Amino acid sequence: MSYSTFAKSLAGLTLASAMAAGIASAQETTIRWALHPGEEADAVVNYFAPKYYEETGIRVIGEILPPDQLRDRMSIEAIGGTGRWDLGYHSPGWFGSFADYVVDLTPYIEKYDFDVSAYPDLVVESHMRSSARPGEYIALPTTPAAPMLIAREDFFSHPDEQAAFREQYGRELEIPTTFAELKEVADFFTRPAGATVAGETLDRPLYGWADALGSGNGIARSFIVMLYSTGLGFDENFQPDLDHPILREVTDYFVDIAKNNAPREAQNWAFLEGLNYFRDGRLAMATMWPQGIATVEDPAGQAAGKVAYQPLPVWEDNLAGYDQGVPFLGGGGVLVFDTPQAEEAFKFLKWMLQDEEVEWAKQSLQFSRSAHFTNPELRAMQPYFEAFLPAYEKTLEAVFIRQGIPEYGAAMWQGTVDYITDLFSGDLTAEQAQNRWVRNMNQTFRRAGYIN
Amino acid sequence: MFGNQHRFTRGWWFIAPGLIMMIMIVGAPLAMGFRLSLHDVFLYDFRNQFYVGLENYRYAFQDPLYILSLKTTAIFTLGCLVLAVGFGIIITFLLNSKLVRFRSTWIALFLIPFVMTPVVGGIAWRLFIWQQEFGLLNQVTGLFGLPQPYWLLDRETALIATIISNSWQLTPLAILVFYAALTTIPEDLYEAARMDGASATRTLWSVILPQMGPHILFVSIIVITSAFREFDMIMALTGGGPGRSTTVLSVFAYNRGIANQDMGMANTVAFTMFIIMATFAWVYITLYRKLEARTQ
Repeated sequence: MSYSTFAKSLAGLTLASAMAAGIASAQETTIRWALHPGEEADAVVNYFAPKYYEETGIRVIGEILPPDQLRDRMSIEAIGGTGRWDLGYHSPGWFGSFADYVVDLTPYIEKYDFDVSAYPDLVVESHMRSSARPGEYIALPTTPAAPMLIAREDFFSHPDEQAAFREQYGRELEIPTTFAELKEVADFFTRPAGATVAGETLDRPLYGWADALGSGNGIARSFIVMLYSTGLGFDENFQPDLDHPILREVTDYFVDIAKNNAPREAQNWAFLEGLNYFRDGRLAMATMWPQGIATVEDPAGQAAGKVAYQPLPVWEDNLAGYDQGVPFLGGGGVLVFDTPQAEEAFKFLKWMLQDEEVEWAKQSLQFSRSAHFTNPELRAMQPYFEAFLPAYEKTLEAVFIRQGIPEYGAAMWQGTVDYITDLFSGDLTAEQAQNRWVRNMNQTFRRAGYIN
Repeated sequence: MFGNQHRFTRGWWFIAPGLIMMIMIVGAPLAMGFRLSLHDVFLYDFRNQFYVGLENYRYAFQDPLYILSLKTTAIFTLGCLVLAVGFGIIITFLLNSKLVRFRSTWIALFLIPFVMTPVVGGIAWRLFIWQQEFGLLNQVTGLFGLPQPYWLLDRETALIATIISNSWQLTPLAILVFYAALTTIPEDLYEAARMDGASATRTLWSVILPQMGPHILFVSIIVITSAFREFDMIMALTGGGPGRSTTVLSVFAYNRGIANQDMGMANTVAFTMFIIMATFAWVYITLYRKLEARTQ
């Protein structure tokens, strides 16, 4: 054997060994992800994970956890340092509580050219950053989402309905742009079985408006949309203005519309279940999170092709001067836990959210990157996307984002859950619930050192 | 063989292993819990703990939700006590009848709830019994044209439904103890009652129940302590809702600790539960000793 043959053989052998080792190492790499149930989780488990495995040999295992256990279990595993999950989905309100257990994504973002500017600024602020880790990116947005108002266009445009409304309220029947109008229109369309709507007799009652009103997160999510539209919250000096009378005003409004215009069953809905009612022609208007669009436009339903989309109504005389309703920017992002697989986990996320951005929107029906609103393929994907996408883009322009403090979840989100649950159920009086919330928030901020 | 000193200390050597285990398993967490209850401590910032003295206790006793949970816990515990002990006595009395065949099979069947995990039991009751549309109960009420309520979602019925479900799980314990107790009652007493012409009800009331006094007291304390700290079954059934209608103290403590992340207050609530139960246990032991002395 000549020297050059020997050298080539050796080089070939080394390369083959290196490739084999690389493949073996890639095959051994498994990324574990704690997921919240939903279309996006299904997309990860059923589409992106298998595709990524095919392309790279890296396995991604998505573990879909019950929503009410997700935070507890992620917290316990993170605090315990078990390394059970490399990735964890969560709503940004609680990002701060994981701050000690996640990696700074800034170096990875730079190294792998992840385009942060593809997201609206508020999404970046809310779903990627936390004041618990100033100057860093600690998550990537997967499902930033905010609710909007949907209405039955055919009801609103029907001449009989328009005439009846004009006679009753002395103005034109239009899709409401203020919460006061919303209540009037909801009253107008709340009708018993046997009445008519848009020229047809109702075999079941019609309700003017609905949202998920189930105990806990359901009703809090619904109420918080109205609460933030009033401009309440806490300022940069951490002075809660929750003792402002407007809180009582919005609470009374919410309890009134929820008890008198929404179906009783809404009190069992946690999130999107009630949109079946809209699909089946039993609601004139509803608050819809974008995850519910496939339900309301279900071709088998009565509402398909007759849905109007617009941002939420404005709360007149709101404290912050908003000119449209300000929904809570919910949904969530993905934290990369400090495990040996952190970099590989980030690479997977970048591939899924950026390299496959159009496919991500198609599969998950989540829209947040600029391409999601401009891509012609996506616009043409469904007939209703032409109306929905611009309205949703406008909705995302004016959202309330959680403050990036670790205490936000406990002070504001859970505070809202407790407040509205206790008031709606009648377990506490308005004064008791308000005092309790203000006291808890002040105590939390005092202990955190934000106030004296 | 042993000196006087040894005579008085050797007993300690025998119980030392158990005592040490007890201190480690029960005493240490209790002390840690009490310590945390005197601090302001949040789950997301667990390392930073601020001593606040009895402030958490002061706030808990002023918090209307704590008072509400206390009342709910009392109703829940009392309800479970009445149902579990009541049904326990009735079922045991029936099982003891000479007319009952396949007695051991019946006893085995009655024990099934006792060996079932409370969470599994809770989910089963929620899905198969209480569910509004498909649940067994509403299927039956539907047959008779009666209303089909949302048992677990209406404030008026949710607490009753959780009490019934939990009692279902506790009753087998009562049956087990009462059945064993019944076998210890001398046949002479039954014979004497029969000769005096006592009816079955009279025999139960005047012969059996007095003889079973200590056992009833024993079962009662087990049922009370179990129901008082019940968590799994309630979480599986209602999660403490609707509103706060089934939020007992253990659920309230959990909410404070996990949802509100306020571990100081969660431990305060838990420690007040311990104080209440410890007081109750002391009263029980005193009563039990007196009753046992009287029956002997």
